[in-house]
Amino acid sequence: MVTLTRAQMKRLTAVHGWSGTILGLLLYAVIVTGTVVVLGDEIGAWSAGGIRTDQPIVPGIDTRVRPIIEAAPAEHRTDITVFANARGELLVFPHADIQHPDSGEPEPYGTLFRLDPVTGGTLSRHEGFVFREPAWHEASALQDFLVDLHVQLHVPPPWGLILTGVLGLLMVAMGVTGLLMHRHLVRDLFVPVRPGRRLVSARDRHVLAGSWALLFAFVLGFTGAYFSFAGTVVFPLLTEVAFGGDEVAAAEALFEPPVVTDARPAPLAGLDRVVADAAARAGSPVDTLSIERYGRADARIRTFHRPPPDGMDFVRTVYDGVSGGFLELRPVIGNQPSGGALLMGLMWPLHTGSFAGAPSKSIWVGLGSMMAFVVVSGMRLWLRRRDAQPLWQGFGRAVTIVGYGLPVAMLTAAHACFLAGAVDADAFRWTPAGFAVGVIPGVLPGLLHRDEDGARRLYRGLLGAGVVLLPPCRMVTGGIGWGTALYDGQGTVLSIDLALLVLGAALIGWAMRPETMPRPRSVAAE
Amino acid sequence: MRRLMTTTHRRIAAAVNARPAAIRWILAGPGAITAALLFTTAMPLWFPAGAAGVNHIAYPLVLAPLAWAAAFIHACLVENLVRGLAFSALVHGVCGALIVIALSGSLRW
Repeated sequence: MVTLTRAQMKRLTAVHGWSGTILGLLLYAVIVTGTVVVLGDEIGAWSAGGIRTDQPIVPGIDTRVRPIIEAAPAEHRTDITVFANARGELLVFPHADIQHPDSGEPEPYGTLFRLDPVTGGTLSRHEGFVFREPAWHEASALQDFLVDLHVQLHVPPPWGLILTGVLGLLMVAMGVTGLLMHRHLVRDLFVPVRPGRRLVSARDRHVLAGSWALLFAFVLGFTGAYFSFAGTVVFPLLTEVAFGGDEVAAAEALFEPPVVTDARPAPLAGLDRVVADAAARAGSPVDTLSIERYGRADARIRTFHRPPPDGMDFVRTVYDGVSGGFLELRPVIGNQPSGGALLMGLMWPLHTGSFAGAPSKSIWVGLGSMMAFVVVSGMRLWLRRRDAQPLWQGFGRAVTIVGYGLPVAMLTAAHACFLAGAVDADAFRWTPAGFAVGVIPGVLPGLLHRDEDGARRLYRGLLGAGVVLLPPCRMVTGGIGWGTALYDGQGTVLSIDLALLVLGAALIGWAMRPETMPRPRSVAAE
Repeated sequence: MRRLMTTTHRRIAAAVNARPAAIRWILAGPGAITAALLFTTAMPLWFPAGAAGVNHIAYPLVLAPLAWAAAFIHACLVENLVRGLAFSALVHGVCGALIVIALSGSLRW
């Protein structure tokens, strides 16, 4: 490993400890929500309920989409986007980019049609700046809430993204300083944890978990900072020097397929053949379909696909909008494969662990949980060395409150989401409200219980009860039962329910387990 | 001339070494952020675009967090603060000059 001088080691220890102490609680929030959001799609499917199909964009959509496009006002036919929500409903959105009065920026405006994917019947239609109203185009308020909490901590854009980007950089710094501080990294991967609740035992646990999570912390922090800063800070700066500040021109040059303008009227190609061909070429079903310059001879049909079983990156295809002929497979950036496109394409699968389905997602959830433990155990280690001072004692209590209170509040948000759905209230409003209400049971045990061990046991009991009650709450409030889920092949619903029951039972068992070892005072020699 | 440079260098070194903690804070804090931003902003001006014509945008877009991490860790580890400050000033100066020239229209991709 890198050999550091005594002064360098002292500085790195100070950086590692103080940055973790000052921003550790926010970092913990981002890591915990991120660990849950790794399963965002699954949580969406589980909480939305009543999924009819998980692949609504298949051959046969032409007869459903075309009448909507032809009936739309001519000014809204500039672009048509066809996608699906977490319930598997088909969403058709003919629109044009119009300047929003609040932001002053061009935003998609049009009428969004929500269709039953089986019958094709219209379930709802809304006109406006659609992507400002999540209830119109999303089916799971819980997924929407958790993703937003992770991505920007519910701080208004762009400041929320910048805040989480700073936390991503902090994670990179923690990972690199942790790596440099390790004198024996390989040995630390297998360090035997000394039993008991002494300072050395806490340090052993932090070192053991931290050693395994080092690379993961670096990758997650790096990719997270990329997602936070790329659009908000770095891309605008790059377009200043490379495109004279014209972000629209930059986006067209980098992300749009080249087209020879031809405004002559021409009918749209059959969508069914395009969808079938695109799915065969990509190796995965069409996730989103967009039609550009509808009704013109230079129309293009683009499809977006999740990574195929043997790939890591999303697949993007382009078809001629009139003949329906295949034109190209596009990389994420540019018009042909490149090192930069490969690098950018890797960012999403590396951040979300979505590159190998359930196994890779499970590993990401496990390592994310380990990261959360590393952050909390690191803060506790820092505090154990200072626990004689009242200020640090108070901070130690704050660590316990946030450590347990955040998951408690997330659980109440989930319960609120289901209960709101049951009484036809706006779940997109009541889910964040449930989180706010959940702050009370999240904070009170830590404030009222004078004995910290007792507070932790109470928290574990609360969490266990909340987790165990989620599946019955989902079913009682209108969610599908296990029999229906099995019959419809919705394994996700059953898997998440069972996982929650096991997790909840484990938490309750942990809460009821008696303390076996007395807590010693820290010893200076340790 | 050489004597003047030596005297100036000694004065700067004395000023830096008189406040090592403050200088390191500046280098690792605002210094690392501005160095990373200037470095990535200037990258399209010298980094090869490649056959696809996008590498000079894609690489700085992705590498920006690593540029900050490199500047930050360097500021934390560098033993000779005068040398560290000089290196940071060089990055700021060269990248800043490239950006100013590009924005003035003399150098445009």
